[in-house]
Formats: sequence, structure tokens, C-alpha cells
Amino acid sequence: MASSAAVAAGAAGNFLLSGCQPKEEKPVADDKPQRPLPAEPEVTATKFNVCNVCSANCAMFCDIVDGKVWRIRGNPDDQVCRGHLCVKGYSSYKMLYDPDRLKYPMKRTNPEKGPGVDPGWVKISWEEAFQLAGEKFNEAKEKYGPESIVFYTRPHDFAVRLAKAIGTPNLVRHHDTCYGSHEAVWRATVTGKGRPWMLDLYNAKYILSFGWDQPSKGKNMSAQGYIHALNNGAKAVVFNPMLTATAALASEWIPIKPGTDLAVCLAMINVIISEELYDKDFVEKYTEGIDQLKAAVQQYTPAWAEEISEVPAATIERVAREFATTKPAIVPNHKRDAGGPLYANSWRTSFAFVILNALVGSIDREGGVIFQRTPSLKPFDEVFPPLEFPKARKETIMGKEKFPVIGPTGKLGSVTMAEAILNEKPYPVKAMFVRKQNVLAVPDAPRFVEALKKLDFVAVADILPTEIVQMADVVFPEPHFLETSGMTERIYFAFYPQIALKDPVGDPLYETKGYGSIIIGIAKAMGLGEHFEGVSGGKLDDERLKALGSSMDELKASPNGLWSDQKPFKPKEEFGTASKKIEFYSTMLKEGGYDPMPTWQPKRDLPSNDYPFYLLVTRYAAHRMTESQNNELVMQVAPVNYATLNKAIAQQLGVKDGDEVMVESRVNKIKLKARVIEGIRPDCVSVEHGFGHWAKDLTRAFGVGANEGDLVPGFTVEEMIALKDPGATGCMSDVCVKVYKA
Amino acid sequence: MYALGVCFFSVAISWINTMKNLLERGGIDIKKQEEENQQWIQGKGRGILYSFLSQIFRDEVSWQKVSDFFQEENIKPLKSVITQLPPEKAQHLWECLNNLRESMGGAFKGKEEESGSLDLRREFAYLFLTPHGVYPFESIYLGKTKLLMDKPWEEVRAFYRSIGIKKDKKEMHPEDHIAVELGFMASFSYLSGDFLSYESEEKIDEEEKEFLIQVQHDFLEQHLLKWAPGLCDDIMAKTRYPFYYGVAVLTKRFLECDLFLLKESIKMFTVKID
Repeated sequence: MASSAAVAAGAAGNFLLSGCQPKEEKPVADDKPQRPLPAEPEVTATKFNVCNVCSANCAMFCDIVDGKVWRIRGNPDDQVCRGHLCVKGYSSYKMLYDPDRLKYPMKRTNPEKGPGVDPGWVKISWEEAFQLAGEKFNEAKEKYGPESIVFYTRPHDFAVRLAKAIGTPNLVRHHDTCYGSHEAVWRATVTGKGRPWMLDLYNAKYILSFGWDQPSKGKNMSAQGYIHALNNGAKAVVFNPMLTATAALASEWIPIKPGTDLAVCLAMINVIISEELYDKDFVEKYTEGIDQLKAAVQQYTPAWAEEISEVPAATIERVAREFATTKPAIVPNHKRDAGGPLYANSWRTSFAFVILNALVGSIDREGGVIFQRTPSLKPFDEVFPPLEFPKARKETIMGKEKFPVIGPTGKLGSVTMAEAILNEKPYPVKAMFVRKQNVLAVPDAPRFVEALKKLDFVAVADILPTEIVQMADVVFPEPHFLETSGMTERIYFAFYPQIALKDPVGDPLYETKGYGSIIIGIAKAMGLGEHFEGVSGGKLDDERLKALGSSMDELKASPNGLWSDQKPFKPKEEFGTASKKIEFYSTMLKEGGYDPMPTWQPKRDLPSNDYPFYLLVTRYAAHRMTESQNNELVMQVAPVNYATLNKAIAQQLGVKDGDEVMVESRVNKIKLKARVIEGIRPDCVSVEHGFGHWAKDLTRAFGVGANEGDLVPGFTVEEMIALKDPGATGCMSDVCVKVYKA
Repeated sequence: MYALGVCFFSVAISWINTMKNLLERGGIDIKKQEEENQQWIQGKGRGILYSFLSQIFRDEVSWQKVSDFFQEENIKPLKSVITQLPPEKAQHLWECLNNLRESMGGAFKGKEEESGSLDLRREFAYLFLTPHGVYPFESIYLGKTKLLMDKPWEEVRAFYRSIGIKKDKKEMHPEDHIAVELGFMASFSYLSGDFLSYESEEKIDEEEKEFLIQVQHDFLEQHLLKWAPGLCDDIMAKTRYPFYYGVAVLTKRFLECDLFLLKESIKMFTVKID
């Protein structure tokens, strides 16, 4: 059998890379008699809620039949979902009724921790759970300083206040595996703050994407927008090493070499500027640095980019011209596309996306990338003014203070967390509070498990008994989102400010507490209750609505569960940078010690004899990260993940569809079933994210598939600094692997 | 004895409250009935055993709770129930009770009480709160989706509703949790008094008695006995402690015996009415 290196190299050379036109398939008439749908039962109540499976937060109607959720529907007046949900949203109520859910607070009685170890859970009261957490956190604080306590949670006002009251600066965030590169780039070049979320694909006429795969991933607003645009005659050109659903639906699929999107983008920028195809009015009025950019990109010719990306120069030129001359045009970006935290050069690719969008006048303009119009919600600290906090140590385990662009946002740290704990750098960490995060979500998950073992105390708030729950000393069970109340603003698609109501579908099934109550309970047990005097989620929502001239009562009485302020869309005339313009030459990047313009840099890990394949990571439309693999319905749709290989390569490796293969990187190896297809470059292997659960308590998810994140090396803060990435992101696909029959 | 009686009564209180409404609608003087019932509720063997088992499945056990159950005051009314059984069944049930009592010794004696309790607390969580053990819901055993609140849950609720009662708001478990179903049986056992021991037939009129007996019979046959024996088998297979093994064996055996007793009672009614 040929070595996998030789096979990968040989087959890549024979691969058709000049661009593919997916075949138009006509629907085939189905002569089979359709099974009649079952009669609809009488709906006894309909509750408004907001999907919490992903951050799109689609507004939904929950139809209740006799005390049980019978069906979930999209709210037609919600700008995000427009009356339609994705499979994740429709199936979300299955998790509500999952018997594996955490039911009561529990404490660990077995001090040994790790995969396969029974924690020896014992049911405890909420009071005892809070007391235990309070004692242990205080113990760490007194012995090792408040900074020895780490919060590994998603952003939440209550948790941030507790961290400040404790005096720890260590709030580790997952954004370095999610969208940190986009965040840093938009912050430095356009907004001075965060990144925009809204893609107005509905009005786009030309969609040029690089690794962007939201439609395949079932991201509701983008999937709908994409299909709408295509039906409306828009052209979509997809650069992706794999024929994803986004690519299959597109007008053109170009199987680019992984991690070389930057080269193609730079060459396109060069073509558009040198041929003066850009939107001169927009560029002149709203951007800075076009002359510097023009000079900088002259070296990046289409022929040069062809050498790097294997995309023919003629294709690059043609697409660049089409993109620049078809309005409105957009380069969509969301999270883990080619500008996301995938490669060492991704932040530069993200920068190129900003430039391409600006060159065609598609930033905050219809059919382009738009800043969501959100309601001006009163800040938490304004509703509940804070007391004085203790002075926190400046040095953090995330190295926040060492990353001048992303550091101030706090959106970093999960990639470097394991090494910081294991190496006790810059100081020892002793205790951790975790919420809505999992072991499997970070690079080199086994290493993170070792880091968790080193801690004296871990408290976890969650819904299901996930891997991180298995590592916990105390567990706080939270309600499923359908059991919660409150409100959520529209972010992922909002031409005007809109808020959606959350009304519980019924009484909670178990002895759970909401996240806010859990934080307050811990604070009180730590003797920090004064920081939460009078604080409650309900009051926060009500005060915020009152400041907008409404109230929670009014929202509850609304016929569609929405508060809307339908102002006409007014495009932005100025932006948030120091110059108030979109900066092609970024002063913030320059001052931070980063390249002020997107110059070429290859990805970090390139194929070698030992590891000849690029690793691609994809996501099922039915799944949400590592959170949905215990959902009974979702697992019927997408029951396992695969190592997807090109047919020619598989043949040379002697691997047949369904055979077990090992995928091995320099840090770990995983075993998966092979799926053999034609629609993937021969030098790539693709794995769907979210599987490989080792928590036996997740009965449907346990032992199914494998976690591709195990293959990805983690970083120390110093290694991250050396990458010179202003987003400090995790290179989540920047790893090469070998594949062989198991 | 009194403390234990109160404790058991409190398990059944949610059902009894809703039963009050039912009986009031039927024209029964509840206050008078309650006064009269003080004696027979506490003395009701079936109710005591159902309540005990309901508690065991509902929450962690303490040495106190279990040893109180084996006090003579509780065993005596149980004996009067057991004597109604054919000798072979009676002997079998006695053996189950004795085995459980012995396993208690194993679980609690020879160790510090706290340590014994901790083992059982761990086992409770292992068996009933994590998927290592069992899912004590009818929905899981008889439903297709293996999720909570599946069709069997709807049917259990429909059963309760058909006799005009519903679960108390304070009850956190769904209607088809084993503890709730056993609690339902406990409440009806108490309400039907010691009729089965043929001692105080005058306390409730014939029609009410027949109704109460028929309800218990139907609930056992249509629900508990359709899935609880399977649950008990799973507990026997999965538990690491003789105590819960003993609980499972006792539950399985008692449910079978109780169906026998209820069927016998129904026969008696038929004879009388004829």
C-alpha cells in the first residue's frame, strides 16, 4: 500500500481545481402514495419563547397539548427566524424531556477524577450546594488569592459582577475558538468595539464566500437568506476544500487548498483596485488608506495566488471582476469560516473580508454586512449600581493584558487555559466555576482534563451531565430554556430594534435554579451578598423595558410576544475607529504591534511526510457544538461523525466506505468510520464536530464517534503571543494529520 | 409510631387533598371521616407498605426511616394484610420483608451510621439520579421515545383525571414516577381503610368501597404492574447494595400480592351485590 503522504500528494495533483459547476437537478416526481399526517390534537396553550440552542435566539411559539410541548413553530414576526426554525430549534424540546438531565444539586464523594471514574454523586440541598461552593471558593481566595479562582463561562452580567466582587480578573472566554479573529479585526478596522452580526443575504446579488458554511450548518437566518438570494437570481461563489451543502447550492464551487483563502482574497483586492472596479464614492467617503493598500497588494497577483491556492489565476480575476461589478455584493463571515479562528493567518483573511466588503460599498448597506440595530438596553450596572469592588490583579491567566486589541474585550483564554493551569503560569489556579462550556470544546481536550484534575475545586452549572460535569465537585442543575422566563433582543438579524419574550412552557421538571439565582446563591454563601442586594433577572428585564417605554407586563400582553421599534434603516455615515472611517491601514493594529494591513502569511501547519492531510472541521445542520448529541430526535438525523475522505485517496489507502480509520496528529489520535466521497480535496480529511463524548451519563451521546478537537494542539500564552494574531485565536483547523486503516 | 404515621401521611397528602374534593362531591362528611379515619389510616398495612416504598424511591433513606418502618406498630397491620394471602404468597412476602430487614443490618450496622448512610446516599444517586441506574418513570419503560412525558405519562394522567383527581402542585415528580404511582396507591389504600381485613366495613358505604377498590385494582393492572416489575428487575441487576436489591424484590412481590388481594375483594363485592 502506498504511504498516505505519497497518496495525498499524488491525488491532489490529479484533482480538478479549475472550478466546478454543480449539476442542476430537477425534482423527481414521487409516485408513492403519501402517508397522511396524523390528526392535529387540540392545542391547549401557546407560549412564546426564544430558542437558546444557538445564539441566533429565534423567537418561537410553543404549542402545548395537555401540559406537554407538542410542537414548536417559528414566530413569523421575528426578524431573525421569519416564521421558520432550523432542525435544532424544532427538536429542542426533546432535551426538555431527556431523562438524563441533571435533576438535583449533587456533590462528588470520590476525590479521583477523570474519564470513566464514577464521581460518587450524592444528592444535596441547594443550601448545601451553595455553602460548599462558598466555602471552597473562599478557601482558595484566602490561601492563594482571589485570582486563583477562574470563571469559565459565557458573558453574563451576574457572573461578571460575582467575579469582580471576588476580585478575580480571570474570566476565561471561548471566543478564541469561535470568532475572536473577526472580533479583533472589525474592532481594529471598523468599529472600535465589536464585530457586526447581520448578513443581509436576502438583498445580495453576489455572494462570494471563503469557508463560510452557515447554510450547511443550519444557521437559520443565513440559510434562509442564502436560499432566498439564490432563488432571486443571486450568484454564489463558494471557495471551500469540500463540497458542503453551501457549495452544492452555489452557482460555482472552487475547491481551494485549505488555509490559502488569504492569498486569493489579496489577489482579488489587487485586481479590484488596479482595475479601478471598486465603489469610488463609498471608498472615498467612508474609508482610509486606499493608496497604502493599493501599494501593498500590488505584489499579490492572481498568478502568485494560483501558485499558493491552486485556484487558476483566470478564475480569481473573473470572480473578482464579477464581485466588484454586481451590486449588492457581499463576503459573508460569521464564526468558523476562513477568517474565523481556524488558521494562523485567519485574522488576515478576516481583514481581507472587511476590505473586499468595503471596496464594493457593502458595509452597513443593504445586501451587505450590517450592524444589527439593537435596542438601547440599560446597562446592568445602571439598573443595579455596583458597590466598590476589590482591586483585581492585572496579570491574568489568559494573558489578557498582553493582547492589546482583543484583550480589552476579554474574549480570549480558552485555548491557553489548560497550559496556564498545568504550568501554574503566571500563578496557580485552584478553583473554577464553569457554565455552558465543555471539555470537548477546547483544543487538546485530554490535556484540559489533566488541567481540571489539578484543581482543588470545580463547580459546574449545567443542564446535562456532560464531560465537564463529570469533573465537578459540585453540580448546580439549571432549567432547560423552555422552562425559563425573560426576554432576548434580536441580534443576528435586526434591521430595527426588537425584543422577544420568554415564557415558560410549564412547571420545571426538576429541582433546578436559573443561572442568576445560582450566582446570587454562591455570592451569598461567600459573604458577598451585598453586591446583589435587590438584584434579580426579572427586575432587570422589567427595568430595561420600562426605560424603552414598555414593561414586562406589556410584553406579555403583546399578541406576538415581541416588542418592536420599527424605525426605517439608516445606513451608517461614520464608524467607530479613531478616524471614524473604515481603516484599510489600521492604526489600532499598528499600535498593537501587528501588521496594519493584511499581508500574506501561510497557515502554521503544512502537510509533511508524517502528517500529509489537512484537517477540515465541519458541522452538521442538526447539531449544536457538543451540546446536542444526547437529543433523541437530532441523533436520528445525524447519528455519528465520520472521517470523510476523497474516493481516489481512500482507494489508494485501501479504505472502503464504513471502514474504521485512525486520524492522528502530533498530539493525539482518534478512531472514526470512514465516509468516502468525491466532493472533497484528496489532500484533506474532514470530521464533523461535536462527537466523542466520554460521559457515560449522556446515554445517547456516549461513545459515539470521536472528538476532532483532541487532534488540535493547545497553546501557552507565550506561544500565542508569538503567533502575532490580534485575536489570539486557537488555530482550530491549523493541524495536519495522517489517516490509516484502524 | 405516630411520627412514622405522620411521615407516611405526608407522602400521601397531595393525593389525599385531591381525594377530599372527590369525596366531598360524593356527599361524604370529610371532617367526620377524618376523625374516624385517624385510627384506620395509621393501621392500614397496605398503605403503610406503599408509603414506605414510595418514600424509598422518592428520596435517600436514613437508618431512622427504615428502622422505624420495621417497628412492631407498622409490622402488625402489615401482618394482618399478609394473613389474607394464600400461605405460599404470604411466606414469600414475609421472606422479602425479612431479607430487607437483614440487608438493613448490612447497610447500617457494623459501620458508623454516617458511613452507612453515605453508601446508601451514593447508591440512591447512582440508581435514581444518573443514567447508570434506572429511569423510574413509566414513560421510559412503556414509551417509544424513551423520553419523559411520553404517551404512558399521558395515560397515567388520564387515569387520575378519570377519577377526578390531579397531582398536587408541590409534587415535583411527573405523574408517572414510581414514587408518585406508589403514593397514589398508598392514598387509596388508606382511604379504603382496613376493609380488606374485613373488620370495619361500615366506615365507608358499599359503593364508595367498591369504587376505591376497583380504582386500585385498575391502576395496578393497567399501570404499575405493566412496568414496575421491569424496573425492579433492572434495580436488582444494577444495584451494588443488598438494601436496594431487597427493596426491588419486595416491591415486585408486593405488587403481585396486592393485585391478588384486590381481585379477591372485588369478587366479594360481586357476591354481596348479587
